[in-house]
Amino acid sequence: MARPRTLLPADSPGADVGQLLADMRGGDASAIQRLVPLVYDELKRIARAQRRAWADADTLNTTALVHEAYMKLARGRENDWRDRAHFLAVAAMAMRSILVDHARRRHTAKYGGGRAAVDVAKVEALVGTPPLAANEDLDLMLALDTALAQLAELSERQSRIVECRFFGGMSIHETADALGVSPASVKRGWALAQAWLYRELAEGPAS
Amino acid sequence: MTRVAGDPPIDWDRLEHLYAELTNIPIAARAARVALVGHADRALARELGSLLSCESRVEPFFRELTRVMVATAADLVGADAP
Repeated sequence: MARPRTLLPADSPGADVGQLLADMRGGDASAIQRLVPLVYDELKRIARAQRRAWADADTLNTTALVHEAYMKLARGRENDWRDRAHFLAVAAMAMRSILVDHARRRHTAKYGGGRAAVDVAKVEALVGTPPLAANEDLDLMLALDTALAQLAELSERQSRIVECRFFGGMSIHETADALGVSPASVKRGWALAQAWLYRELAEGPAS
Repeated sequence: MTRVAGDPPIDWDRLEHLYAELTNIPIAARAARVALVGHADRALARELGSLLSCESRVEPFFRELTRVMVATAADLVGADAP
């Protein structure tokens, strides 16, 4: 996933996050395209400010990160739970972009330009063994992004669920609110998506 | 992938419901249920059986994937440090 193109600078008068969230909720699909770059930039700013905590973390505290971004960007609308739910989904999408873009840059720096040759055939054997080497981490992040794009062709909802749950650290209920589906649907979709992603990644790129 | 040339498209919503249903019944009872599905839709049953066979390895894999994501994030903020 390429870094979202910034259509509106964050400090432009038109970049009203609250209005974009309202537009998104009203069914304006283009609002999400304008929101993601704003959230992307804000998340990166906050992550840099918190880098010491991130560097030592065993888990990624996405919830705190996203909350801070929401408080900064959605001034005056902090108490609107519907806006918050939609914001979380956008933040999860931005988080995926940030991490995958970084993995791609690292991969290019290590192995040169061109499309990354992702070798994840060993993934199944690696589960439960010592952590992957750094280059295998990069491969896995890129392979996950590719597999998620393939999953979106089968089920856009399941792909979004993975973004929210995995990249956004969102609960079942937060994901359900953000995507406008039932918690039961999120649970079912999450379970199948995980199994499918495991199989795709363990077996390597789908033919 | 478990698709065979000529297979019809899989009903993904039905697959999702069946996967949820079968992961909540004893493992010993699953094969019979998959076989039953196969009477009406062989491609769906193949996909279902394939995904069910992965079930026990999914959780450790996602734990590892989470570690990879955290490592990538830590590397990112480290790389961005002034």
